[in-house]
Amino acid sequence: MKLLNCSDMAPLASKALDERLALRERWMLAVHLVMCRFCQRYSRQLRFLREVIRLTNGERLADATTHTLSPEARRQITQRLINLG
Amino acid sequence: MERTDHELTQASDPASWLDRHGDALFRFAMLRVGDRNLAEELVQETYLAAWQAKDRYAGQSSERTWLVGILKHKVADSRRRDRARPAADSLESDEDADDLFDERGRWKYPPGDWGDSPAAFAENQEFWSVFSRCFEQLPGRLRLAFALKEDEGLDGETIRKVVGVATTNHVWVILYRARQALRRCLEVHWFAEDR
Repeated sequence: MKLLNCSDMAPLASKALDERLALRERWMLAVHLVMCRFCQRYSRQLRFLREVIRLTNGERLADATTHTLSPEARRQITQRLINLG
Repeated sequence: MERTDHELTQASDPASWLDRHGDALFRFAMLRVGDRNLAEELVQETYLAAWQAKDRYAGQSSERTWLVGILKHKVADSRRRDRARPAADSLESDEDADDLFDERGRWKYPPGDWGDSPAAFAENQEFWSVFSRCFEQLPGRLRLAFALKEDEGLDGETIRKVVGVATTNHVWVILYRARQALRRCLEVHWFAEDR
């Protein structure tokens, strides 16, 4: 069996957060992680990202962007609310 | 009938009601649909529905929570109603992973030790302001897919439809790239600095 290097293993470790890997993939990932301190850290960083967002119920994620309603949308919504009376 | 304060503030002036919550609702919608026009439409639908239901709003939750609740339904409706976005066959170039590995597949910039307590950062304003800058730098579809996964916890097939890619494999690739870009950015701008 071909041994994974770090660039093979990184996408797999990410996918493992999202769905159950095939047995073979899980095995290759586990073998690599035992040997590779950097990939262990990388894996923990991905879990850290997930965890820190969960801890804030995702509220921080929406606040993490700076989108604002366009002036046209603002005018249109205001107008329609006024029309409703 | 006596009106509550909440009803009074809403009813008095649509423009200031929009000022109070409009942008926050819009950001919430953008995070979930990734498209300006659709997000603005959903905010409008939310306000119109809220306006018509305002007599039933008894102030048991905050005005914001009430509006966000309505918006969530509007987002769910639009996902059921609208056809999936046309699927792109390939990923866009700005969605490419950075050059993180050398020619032998080893980390160019070895990941650092972030410790084991995300809880220590969850309430840290400085951390979130760095996070925001990193998150905003992500290409649109990467940001959208990441939010759908990590905030809403949607499955691969649903994310595939919302972001408009051909296969769930594309979804895993997009999520992978989003995570790499975010973690690398946080590493450089937050964790690498002495604190």
